[in-house]
Amino acid sequence: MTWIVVGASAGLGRAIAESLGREGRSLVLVAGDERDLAPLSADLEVAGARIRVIAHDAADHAGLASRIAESLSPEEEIEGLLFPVGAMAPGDDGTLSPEEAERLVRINFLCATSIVGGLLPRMLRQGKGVIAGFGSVAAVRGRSQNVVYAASKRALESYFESLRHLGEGRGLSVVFYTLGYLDTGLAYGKRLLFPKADPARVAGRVRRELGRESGGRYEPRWWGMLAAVVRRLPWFVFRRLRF
Amino acid sequence: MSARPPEGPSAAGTGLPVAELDLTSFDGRVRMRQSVARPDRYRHLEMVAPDRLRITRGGGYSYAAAGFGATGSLVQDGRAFDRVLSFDEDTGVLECEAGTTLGKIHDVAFPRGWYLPVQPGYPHITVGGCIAADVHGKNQFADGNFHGVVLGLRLFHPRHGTLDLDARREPEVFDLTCGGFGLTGHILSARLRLSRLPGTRVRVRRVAVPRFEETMGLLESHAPQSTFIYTWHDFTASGDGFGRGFLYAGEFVSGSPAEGHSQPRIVEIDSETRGRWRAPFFNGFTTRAFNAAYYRTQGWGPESRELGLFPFLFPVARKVVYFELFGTRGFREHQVLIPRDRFASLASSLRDYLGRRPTPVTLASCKLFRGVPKYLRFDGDGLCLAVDVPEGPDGERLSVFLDGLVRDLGGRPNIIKDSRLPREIAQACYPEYDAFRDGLRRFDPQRLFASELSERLGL
Repeated sequence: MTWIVVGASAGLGRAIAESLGREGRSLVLVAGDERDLAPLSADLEVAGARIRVIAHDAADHAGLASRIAESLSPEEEIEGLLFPVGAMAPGDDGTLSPEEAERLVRINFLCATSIVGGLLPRMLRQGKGVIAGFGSVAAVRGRSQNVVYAASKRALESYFESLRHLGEGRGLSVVFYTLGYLDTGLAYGKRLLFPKADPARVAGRVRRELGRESGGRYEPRWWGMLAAVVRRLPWFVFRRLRF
Repeated sequence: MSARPPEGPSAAGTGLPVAELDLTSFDGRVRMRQSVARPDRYRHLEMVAPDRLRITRGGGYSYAAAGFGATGSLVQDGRAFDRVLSFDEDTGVLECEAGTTLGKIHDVAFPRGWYLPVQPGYPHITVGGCIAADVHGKNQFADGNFHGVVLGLRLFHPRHGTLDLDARREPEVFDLTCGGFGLTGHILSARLRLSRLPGTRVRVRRVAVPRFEETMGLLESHAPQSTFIYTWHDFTASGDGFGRGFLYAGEFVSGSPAEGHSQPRIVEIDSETRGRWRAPFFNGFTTRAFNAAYYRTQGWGPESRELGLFPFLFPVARKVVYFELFGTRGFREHQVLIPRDRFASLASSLRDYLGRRPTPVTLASCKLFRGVPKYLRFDGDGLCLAVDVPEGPDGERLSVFLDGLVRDLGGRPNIIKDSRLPREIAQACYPEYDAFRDGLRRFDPQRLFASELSERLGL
């Protein structure tokens, strides 16, 4: 019974990994830098968890998918496959270079499709398991900022909708969280319109819900109402907004 | 609706997002706008421009502004690095990152029958802060200062890279770092020597101290039978009752039952929330009443009582209101270490001064100290007296008086407890002041790690 957390070394991913680790779970933690994974792994092992780490750049999604698959023994059951992973880029205002744009798409979208693609047959065979994706309120409506980031996260949302459809009646619980402002490195130091949520608290709520039901959620919850309003704003209003 | 991406390096000479924050020292006396980065990955520490001045900040519980940058410094919040790296249950050696809190170490060690023998009174204080300030507990006379439990540490400095230090490898840098106020570099991790728990509870005996002058004798007579020892005094009582109070002697209850380690109750406080009440409660009248009430209520209870280890080690976790009562304006704490043979002079001088100049001393407490001084560590043989006063003219006068007194008595003030300590007093009271400053310069000619404290003290 193993949980795989992709993007585990910082922010919400680390908070989710810590939440699962404190329960003494068996975890595969994935992040880009061994130096960050090693202390997290050690800490959670002291807390009673069983940890394997994979240090691999999420942009190399195909290579990462292979390494994750290789880390699992044939009879090992995957209890959860979580993707609290993402990347933004400075200057994502429609002028990103092809390389920069591709890197965002690889991390924010293809990383999940490649890993899920490799493990989905196995999870369908076992007839149970959780797959969770994490999007952003930035993708609720396309704006002149975070252009490629938002597009890649919206693609991810569509992908998870398909996954949910695919897993329906086959034992899979597929959930997609649309995240509002979190107090992580991505938002640190920014003056934002709304308060930033504590990643540890969000992780606690996510953990309690994982496996209970499928579908889409906002975290924190109240962002759902705000997103509904933004989605319905007429164009002549939306086009004037600068946020 | 999303956060904007981090600003580029040009924004602050770093590759990290930086927030402009108004920081307050825990005593409320120092308020400064600071550029604060919050690294949470190791590579972030290497992204700061190599010639940028910087200082590391831990929990922010230091009374002095040791975690505030000097002019132009970048403050690096180190609290994300808070993981326990290993714990050997046979030897009691625990390795952790420097942002690990004392409360987390307690959570790991206590259920396994170990505890950290040297620690100050609030669980959110970080290990890095304990090393940098070379803190002590209620058992200094027996277990010494924090440097005594540090078996080794890992330090990052942009000029030297990552260094593993202990008393044998790089002993000078190790000594400069333990009690060095974070001025040698960014402490990454430490190996700590924990002690076996003789019991899970502490029995505290209360002994009356009729007058301050009897404190030294009582502490010395009770110390041999005690693991922890400290006193509380009423410095607002006049006449014969000046300095009346109690001595508290604690020892582990051997064989006390291994209780389930339920999450202890911690009332949250930090340097920003401490002063949330604008108006201070303490003044001349209320402080006398407060001390008199405390004296009476302490005297009512049984002379011996048992406490769990957590509430005994971390009394502030349930008594944060004491600090809040000082309001936004804050307080001053003076902690001084006086040689044993000068205690009588200390007592008579204090009695004389406070008799002439009634001052709202909200707390006076003594501990017994044993140790060998080194550099700017608050260490040595003698009696440690801590005095709290509300910020204001009375406190200012008391500060000037105590500065002169501690210098004249051959004592030393605790630098980390005093946010206004003048450079001349530190220089006069610490014979190794120059050696410390010169050692820092030998290790780091550019003096990259610089704080308000180091700037004020000329380090």
